[in-house]
Amino acid sequence: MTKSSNDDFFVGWSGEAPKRYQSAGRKFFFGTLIVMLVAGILYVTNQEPYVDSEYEYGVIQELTGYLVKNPVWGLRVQDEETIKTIPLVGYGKMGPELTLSKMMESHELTEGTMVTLRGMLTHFQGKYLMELTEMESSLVSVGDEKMLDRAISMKGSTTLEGEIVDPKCFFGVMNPATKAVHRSCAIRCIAGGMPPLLAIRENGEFVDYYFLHGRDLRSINREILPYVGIPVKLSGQVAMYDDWKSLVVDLEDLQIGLLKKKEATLAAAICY
Amino acid sequence: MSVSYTSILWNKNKRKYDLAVFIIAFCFITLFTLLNLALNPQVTFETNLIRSFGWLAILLLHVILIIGPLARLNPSFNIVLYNRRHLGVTMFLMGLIHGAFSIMQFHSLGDTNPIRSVFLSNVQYGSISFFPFQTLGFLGLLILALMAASSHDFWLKNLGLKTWKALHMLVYVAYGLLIMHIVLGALQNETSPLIFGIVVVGFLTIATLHIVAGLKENRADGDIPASDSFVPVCTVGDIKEGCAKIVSVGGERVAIFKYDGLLSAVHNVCRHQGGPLGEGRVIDGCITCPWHGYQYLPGNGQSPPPFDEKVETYRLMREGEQIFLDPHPNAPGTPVEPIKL
Repeated sequence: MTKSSNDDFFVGWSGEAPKRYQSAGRKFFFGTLIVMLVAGILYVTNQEPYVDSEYEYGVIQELTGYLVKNPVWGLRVQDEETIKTIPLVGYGKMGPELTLSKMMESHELTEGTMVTLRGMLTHFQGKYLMELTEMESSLVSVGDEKMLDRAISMKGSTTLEGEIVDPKCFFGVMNPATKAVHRSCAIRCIAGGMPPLLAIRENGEFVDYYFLHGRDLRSINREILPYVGIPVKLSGQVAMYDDWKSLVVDLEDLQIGLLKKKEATLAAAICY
Repeated sequence: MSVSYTSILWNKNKRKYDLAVFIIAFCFITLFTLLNLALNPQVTFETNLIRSFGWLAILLLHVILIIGPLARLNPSFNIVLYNRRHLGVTMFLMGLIHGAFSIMQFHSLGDTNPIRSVFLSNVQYGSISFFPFQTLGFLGLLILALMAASSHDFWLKNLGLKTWKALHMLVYVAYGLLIMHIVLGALQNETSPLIFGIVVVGFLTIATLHIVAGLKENRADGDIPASDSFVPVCTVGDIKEGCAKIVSVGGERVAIFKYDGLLSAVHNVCRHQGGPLGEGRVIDGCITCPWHGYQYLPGNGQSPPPFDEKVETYRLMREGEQIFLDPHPNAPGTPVEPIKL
């Protein structure tokens, strides 16, 4: 094929374009560039603000405290004058149970044993979680001391509206870690054993948190999966363990924002 | 045009095109990231990457869908149509980065297979508010993957124009899936009407351009009913030298070319990607398609050797200024004596 001799017609394979085509190409390029950059700027400047959570990725820290089981598995530490419980979470989207059971079996640990654990921390609003990043190797040492009695205060019954989230992502691994974009991830984490947490929001700000349990503090991870990441209303008994609250719910009383019952049944039938 | 299949036949124009695509993608990701980090220092690397590449991909998809009707309305934009496949593959790769990181972020390191997790973590398929929007993105990306993998002329030749075209028309299905993926997903986390507005404006721009281009084409066609004998289609004065008049007879578009004191008629659809031959020119004695420069001899509808593409030819008749066309097409590549003027 020979090159076009027609100045007013563009033949792509010729490599040369007549002026009016070159001009149209330039206009299209600059127009596209400007429109796309403006769209990008508008999105970035108008997206929902991110929360101030942090995942100290790559920073392994060692903490010493007492191993506690409630409201979820955690490390009870003394921070200056304050006693805090730092909930423990597993690597990836898994809960800490498997790792802890191996540690407890090999080192004959029980609740209340003093241990030094290492892992990466997530934190938000002064609340910390520790990931057992190195799994069984996260146990650095076992102390001789045993925890003295721990005060648990019962706060009575209440009804709360909020969103069920997975605490690991919520307190820093992901940002944002709520609503539609994070729903599947939260379901995956809770299915993997991460303790479900009810996050309460007021005027757009998160203000309170409750670990969720069934009667006798049994795990309700499986039963609660269809209700993760959507607006829910829950009633139950509140208990306070150091700086964390627990809500013992009766699943029969669960009221779900917009979720239809048949969808919940379908969810349970297919996946859970 | 090439006899053998090479990955890309580079020329100056293609290099400029690819450079322009790179500049757009680079500037978008850089600006998005720097601005996001400046305004939201808490944003995680993964969230920024997922959002920036996701928005880049969907915006590029809009650009791709705009090019077609724009070139129909103003042929000068054929220059951006010519290498649209490069833009398509780039858009797919940007979407793949978004999709792959999203699956890694939201579905990996759990208690089940990440792909299974995409479809079975959230199973409220009967709900609009809580629909598992990630499945829509996954399916949309799958279609774009098929299109990107089959974008080379090797697949066009081996699948045949109809199958290849049908496969690539699935881009509209992918677009629909991806818009729903955004509306039921990302937009559910946003409260700003401006972000929703960007999506609506994008959709309306594409829809409007397609409708306007379609209306223009239909008006220009003015379909002539099919007949067993020659039908009057246009006059000699209607056709510019070296160009064609497109007529629609019985729903089939035919291009009647005037060149070197002769008239010839061929089917309007190029065998390559279905480009409108009647909007092309006669260059060096060959009808040249405006989309990718495929060429055919006007007298027999055959690509000059060694190429082997063929289009249907039509018989013409002239009485004074009036041109008549036999609406029955000859088999592709059948020689027909041109009408002398």
